[in-house]
Amino acid sequence: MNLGRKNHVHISKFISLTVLIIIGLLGLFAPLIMPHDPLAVDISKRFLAPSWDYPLGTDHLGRCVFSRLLLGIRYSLGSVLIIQIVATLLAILVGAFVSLKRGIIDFLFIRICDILLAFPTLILAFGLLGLLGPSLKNVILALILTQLIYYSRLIRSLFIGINEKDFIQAARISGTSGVKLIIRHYLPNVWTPIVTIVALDVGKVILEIAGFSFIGLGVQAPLPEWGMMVNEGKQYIRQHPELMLYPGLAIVLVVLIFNHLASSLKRLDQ
Amino acid sequence: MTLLKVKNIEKHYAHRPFIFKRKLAAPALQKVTFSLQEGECLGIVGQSGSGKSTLGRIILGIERPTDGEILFQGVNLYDTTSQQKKLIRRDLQAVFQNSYHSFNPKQTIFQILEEPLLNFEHFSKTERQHKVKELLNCVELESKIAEKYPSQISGGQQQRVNIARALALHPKLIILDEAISSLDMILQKHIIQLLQTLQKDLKLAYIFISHDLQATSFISDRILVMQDGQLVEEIKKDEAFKHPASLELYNAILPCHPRERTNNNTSY
Repeated sequence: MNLGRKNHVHISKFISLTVLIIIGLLGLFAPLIMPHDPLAVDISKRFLAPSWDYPLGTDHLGRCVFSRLLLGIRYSLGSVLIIQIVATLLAILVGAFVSLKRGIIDFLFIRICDILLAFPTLILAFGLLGLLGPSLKNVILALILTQLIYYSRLIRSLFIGINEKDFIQAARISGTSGVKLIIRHYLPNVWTPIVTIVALDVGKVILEIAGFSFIGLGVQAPLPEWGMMVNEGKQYIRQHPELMLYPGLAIVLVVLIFNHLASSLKRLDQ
Repeated sequence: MTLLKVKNIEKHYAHRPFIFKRKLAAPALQKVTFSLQEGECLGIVGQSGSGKSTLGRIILGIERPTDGEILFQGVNLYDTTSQQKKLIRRDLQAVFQNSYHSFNPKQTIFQILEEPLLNFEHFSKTERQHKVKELLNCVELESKIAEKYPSQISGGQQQRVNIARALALHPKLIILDEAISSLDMILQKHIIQLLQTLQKDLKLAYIFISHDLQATSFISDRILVMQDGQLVEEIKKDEAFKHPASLELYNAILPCHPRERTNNNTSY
């Protein structure tokens, strides 16, 4: 009984991981696989039904939806990866620094974080985007900053949790300090919760990027980001709901996969 | 030659965070002064909360004293350049009470023992392997234990690995903070004998911090008794205790047989 449940978890993890890798490869080799130029406008071919030539049909400007979805992987998933990786690495630096220094630096850091965390992340990012102007680059910057605040606080508290542990003291007495101490002793003991939370947030960030593109603050017009495609499709929701459905489903699929993988990581941690 | 001089050490733990006015709590240490010769074993005993562990942590540099100074080989521990500090680090090692918790659970015994060598010596990989084997031999452990993780070996083995790590840099002084208190009697005896052999062979000095008067008097050349953060008595090996705090500790030791029980320890 128990064994069966375990196998079930393994199979679903395996499937999720495979699908994710396939999506990643599709995004990586998108220019080679795309049947058409995703930006080429041809008004004479508007709203074509799916065919061998156009696997998912065409949109209101006669562009191949399938090609646009493929290239969209780069914008949607690519920017999430950049955001999460950069934010996590910076957060490790910041968190490690304040947790080892403590004192007034730590105190100020926590108060500033508290103030910034009092705003919902979306509102904070809105404010930043208002200052920086709408573009994908600025969305990435704004989201790196909001994630950074959250992660560096998390990492600080994880580090402080093991600050007083005997093995850290023992390592200090053995002469280990600074960066070596963090790499050898802190990170190996806290990486599971960090990776779990970062993976769990991938879904959230994809939705945020899509959200920004949807309201026109993110990726700008001809580029095929998934949230952007949902936005463009919404005008034709009555006649051609599939234009919203395809990118929408793609977003749902990726978010579900990441959430599933993250929760199995969490189980692993427990 | 004097190895360590502790002068008028005071330690207070502040009650409130720094942004409010500092309130000094009851002192953990008050005017503690003593010195230690090279190759000597000094026992520090006292009840729980008497400040003996705090004293150990201050000598190790994990905590800063509120006042006073500590001279290690004539160098003030809290007034040094980082270069000097690094040299002192080499000569001043420690073994903690909870042996399992003093290991990083994600490292193998080899990695644990290799760490001080990586920090201070410029050894090649084979030299380090050789040295780790030598250290394990030194504490009478088999060298194949090196591939295991701390959770896979027994408590006695863990404590010996701990001692091996402290020995790795050939220190002059090892602080043993309740280092054997959590072990059973047979292992305690075994480790004390091991410590005494090492002391003779390597000319080590120990500060042996414990609440266990029997073990302490067995290994120490001199015993300091602490009570409420103060040194209340200093006796040589085999001298009798006089101070009430020492007598209380002494009387708490149960005799080998109930017949030998005196009025002093009938409170049990």
